[in-house]
Amino acid sequence: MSGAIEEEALALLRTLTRDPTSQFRGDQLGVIRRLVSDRQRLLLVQRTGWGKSAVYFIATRMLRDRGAGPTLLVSPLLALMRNQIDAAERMGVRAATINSANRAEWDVVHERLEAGVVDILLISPERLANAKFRVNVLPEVGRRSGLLVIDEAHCISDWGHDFRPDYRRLVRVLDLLPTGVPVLCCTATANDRVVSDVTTQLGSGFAPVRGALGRDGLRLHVLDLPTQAERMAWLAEMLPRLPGTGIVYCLTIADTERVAGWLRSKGIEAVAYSGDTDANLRPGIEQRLLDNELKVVVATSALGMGFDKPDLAFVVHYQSPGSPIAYYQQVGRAGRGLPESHGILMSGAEDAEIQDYFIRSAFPPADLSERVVGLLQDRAEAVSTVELLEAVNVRPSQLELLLKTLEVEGAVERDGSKWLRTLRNWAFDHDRVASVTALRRTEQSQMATYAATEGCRMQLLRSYLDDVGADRCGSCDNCSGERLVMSFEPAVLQQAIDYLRTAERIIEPRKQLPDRTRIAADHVLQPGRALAVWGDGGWGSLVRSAKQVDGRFDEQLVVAAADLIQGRWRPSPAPTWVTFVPSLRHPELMSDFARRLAATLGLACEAVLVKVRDTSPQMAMRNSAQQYGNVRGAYEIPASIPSGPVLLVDDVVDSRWTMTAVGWKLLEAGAGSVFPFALADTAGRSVA
Amino acid sequence: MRQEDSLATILLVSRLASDGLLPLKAAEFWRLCHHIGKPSVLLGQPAADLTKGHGIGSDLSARIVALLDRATAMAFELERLDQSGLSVLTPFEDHYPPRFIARLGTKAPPLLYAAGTVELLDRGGVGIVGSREVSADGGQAARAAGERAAMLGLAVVSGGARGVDQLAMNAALQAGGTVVGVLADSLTRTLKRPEIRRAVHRGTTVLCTPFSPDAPFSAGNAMGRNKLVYAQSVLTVVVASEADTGGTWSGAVEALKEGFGRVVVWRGLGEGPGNERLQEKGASPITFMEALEDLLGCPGAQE
Repeated sequence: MSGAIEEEALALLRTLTRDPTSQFRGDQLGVIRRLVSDRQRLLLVQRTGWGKSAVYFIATRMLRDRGAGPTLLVSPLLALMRNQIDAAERMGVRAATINSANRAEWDVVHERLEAGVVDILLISPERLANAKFRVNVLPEVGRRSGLLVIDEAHCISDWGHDFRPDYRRLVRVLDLLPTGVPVLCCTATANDRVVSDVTTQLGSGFAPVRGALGRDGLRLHVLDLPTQAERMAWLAEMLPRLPGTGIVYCLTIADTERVAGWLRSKGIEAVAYSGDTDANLRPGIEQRLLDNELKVVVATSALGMGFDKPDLAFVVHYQSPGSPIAYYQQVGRAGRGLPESHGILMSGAEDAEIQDYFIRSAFPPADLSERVVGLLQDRAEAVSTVELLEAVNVRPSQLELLLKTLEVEGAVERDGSKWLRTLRNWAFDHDRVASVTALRRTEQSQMATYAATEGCRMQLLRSYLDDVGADRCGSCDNCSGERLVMSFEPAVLQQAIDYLRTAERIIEPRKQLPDRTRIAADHVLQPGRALAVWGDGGWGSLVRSAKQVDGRFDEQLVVAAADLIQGRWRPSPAPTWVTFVPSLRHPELMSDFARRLAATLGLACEAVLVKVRDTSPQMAMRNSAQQYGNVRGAYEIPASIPSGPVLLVDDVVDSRWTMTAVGWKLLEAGAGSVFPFALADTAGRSVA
Repeated sequence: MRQEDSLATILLVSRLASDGLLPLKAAEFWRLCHHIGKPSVLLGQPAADLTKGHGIGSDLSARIVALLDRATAMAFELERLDQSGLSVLTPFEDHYPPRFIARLGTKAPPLLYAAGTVELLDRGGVGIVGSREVSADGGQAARAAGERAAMLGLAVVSGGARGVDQLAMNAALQAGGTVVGVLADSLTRTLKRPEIRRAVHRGTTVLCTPFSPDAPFSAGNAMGRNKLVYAQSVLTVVVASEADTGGTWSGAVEALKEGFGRVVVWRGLGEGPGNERLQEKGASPITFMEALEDLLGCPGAQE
C-alpha cells in the first residue's frame, strides 16, 4: 500500500477511536487495502472484538471518497450497532438503518438515499425478502455499487447453528455480482467445518482472512446436577459468590423465565432474555448487563451473536447445548478482557429430550414440504395461508417456516399475501437433511463426552472444533483439580422444589374462532389455570407419568390443584360445582381425578358431558382450523345441569379448543361462568 | 461465479434497474463486442481508461461505466427473477439459442428472458405463424401443422399470440409435443396463467422474450420478435397472412429478404389473402400438412 493511502486510513482510525495514538491491529490495514484498492471479495474469520466494524467503516469512507456508491451492510444484529454507528458518524460516515423496528423512518431514509447523503445502509437479512424494499430501496443503493458487507456470514451455512434462510439469497446475489464490486463477509465462528462450508458456498472468488482461536484465562467446569431443583438451588447459592456479572444459558424460553423468576425471588438481579422478549426491550437488557447493573441475564441462544462484553465474568449453562460449536461460542463470551473467567456446564436429565426436539424440528418434514409444493403446483395460482392451513395439519408458525424455507429454495414465491408455486424445478433434498441430522447426532454425543471426560476440557473442546494438538489448558476443573462446590442448603433446595411446583400458567380464554370471527361475549370462558407445564420439572413430570404409565393421577396432584385453586387463584364468582372433559380412551382417569378434586374443594362433581364421537388427541392437531374441527360437535350435554359457576377440569390443555368448545356447551346449557382448569399446559413447550 | 461476460452483457443491455440510464441497443452491443472482443474486459475500468485504452468515445465510455456500475442492484434483480423461475440468457451461456447467432448475426438479441424448459432452445423447431383473426379453416390448418410438428418430434415455435399461434401451440401440446413461445410482450403476465404454469411444470414448454418481462404490447416489438421465430425454426409455416399489411406479412417478407429462415406458405383451405403473394416472393408452398416431413427432409432444411 502506498504511504498516502496508509496515512489516510490511519487518520480515519484515529478519528474513529478518538485516540491520536491508535494503530491498526493485525490484518486490519491489509483488509482495508484489499477492499479499497483491489476491490476484492474477502471472507474475514476473526473473533468478536477484533475490530471488523472499524475496517468496514473506514473502507466505506475511503471508497465513497473515490466515487463509489453507498455501502450495503446486512446483519441480523442491527440493534447492537448503535455505538459503532455513532463512532462512524464522527469520521463522516453517514449511516442509515432500515429494519422492522423503524418503519416510520423508511421514507426519510429513502429520500436521503436518493439525495446521495447515505454512506452506509444497514439492513436486516429479512428486508431482502420484502417486495417493497426490493422495488423501492435496493435499486437506490445498488445503482452505484459500493462495498457489500455481510455480517455473521456463518448464517449462510446450515452446518452451523445460526442458519438463516435469507442468507441463502445473499449467496445467490453474490454469485450474480461481477468482479470489481468489493465484498466483505465477516464471521466470528470458530469451526472449520462451517468456515469451509461458507467458503464453498461463496465460491472461489473469496479469499479467506483468518485469525487464531484460543481462550486464555477461561476456566471450564462441569457440574452433574440432574434435577432442575438442584440446579436452581445451586445457582441461588453460588451466583452471589461468583465475582462480576454473567449469563445463564437455558435451552427453552419457559426455562429462562422460570430460572430468572426464581433468582429474583432469591434477591438476585436477573432478567430473562429470549426470542420471546420484545425487540424493543432487548437493547435495554443488554445495556444493563454491559453496565453491570444486572448480576445475570438468563437467556436462550437469542442472546449471542455480536454481544461483546469483555468483562463478562462467567457463563453458566443451565442445560447442555447440543453441540461443541454452540457451547464454545456461548462459553467463549466469558472474560475476553479478564485474567480469569468461568464457564460452567450443568448437565440436566432433560437435556437430551430437548436437544432431540431441536434436531427433529430443524427441517420441515419431507412429506409436508412435498404436499405443500404439490398443492400449490396443482392449483397453479396464488393460495392464501388460511387455505393452506385448512389443507395441511401444521401449526401456523411451522407453516410459516416451511414456506420461508421453500421460498428461499425457489419452490414457492409470495404473491401479495398469498403463495404461488414458482416455475422452477424443486425436489426435497433428502441427502442434505440426512447428513445434517447425522452431524447433529455426532455433536450431541460429543457434548455428552465433554461432560463426562476426565481429561482436559479445553483441549477436548478445541479438538471438536478441528483445533487438534492444543496443549492442556491447566485451568479447567480436571487439569487443576479445583472443583466447584456441589452442595447447597437443604432449605434452599426445598424452596426451589416449591417454586417449581407453584409455577402455574394462566389459560387465556379464546375470543375468536379459527376463521377469525369473534366469539360472543356470553360464550367466552373465564381465565383459567394450568397447574404445570407438560412433562416439565415440578408437577409436569408427575402428570405425564400418570397419563402414560400409572393410569391414575397421584393424590399429591389433587392436593396441589386444590392449593392452587383455593390459595393462589380464588376464581370469582366462586364455582359451585365441578365437571370434567370426558375421554373415550381413558374414561376413568379424568372422572376419578375430578371427583377427588371436587371432594377436596367441598363441591359436587357432575358428569354432565358426553363424548358422542371419538377425536384424535388435540396434541396431534397442529393448527386452529384442524383443532376446532377435531372437537366441534364431539361433546353433548344430554340433560339439564346445575346453574352456578362451574370449574371445568381437563388433564392437559394444548390449543384450548377443547375447553372453548366444551365451555360453550356449558354456557349454552345455563352454567353462569366457566373456569377451565388443567393439570398441565403443553403450549409452553415452545423453544428458543 | 456466473460467467463474467454474461453479467457484463446483462448490465450493458438490460432495462432492469436502469432508472434513467439508456442501455445499449443490440447493434451497439455487437459493435462494441466486435471492437473489444469480450464484454467482461470492460468491468472495473474507469471511463478514462475505456477511452484511452480501447478507443471508445467518451460519451459512450461514460454510459458504459454507469451501466456497469449498477451491478449490485442488478444482482438483486437477477436473483429475484431467478427465484421465480425466470432465466436471463446471453450468448455467453448454455441454452441461449445457437441459431440466433448463426442466422441473425448482429441482429441477434444480446439478452433473452426465459421460463420453462430452456433446453428446448438448443435445437430448432417448426415455426407456425399467422393472423390473430383466423377463419375456422385457417384454425384447422394451424392445428394440423402443430400436431404434425409434434408427431415429428419437433417443437412448435410460435409467437404465443391469439389465433394461429395459440391454436398451433395447444394442438402440439395436446399431441404430446413441445412448444417454444417467443413473446413480444407481457412475459410475466402470461406466466401467471394457470394453464401456462401447468405446461411449464410438465416440462413441455419454454416461453422467452428479448424484451423486458413486463413490456406491454407494441407493434415494433412484435416485428422484432417475428425474426426470432424464423431464426429458431428449421422452417416456418405461414398459415394465413394478409397481403401487404399486418405483422405476419411483414415478418414473412423480411425473413425471405434477409434469409432469417426458410419460409413455407400454406396453400389450402383457410389460407390468407397474402399467401399466394408470399409464394411468388419465394416461399415454398405446402398443400397438405403431411408434406411437412418431406419439406423438413429436403436439402437446406437442416443446417
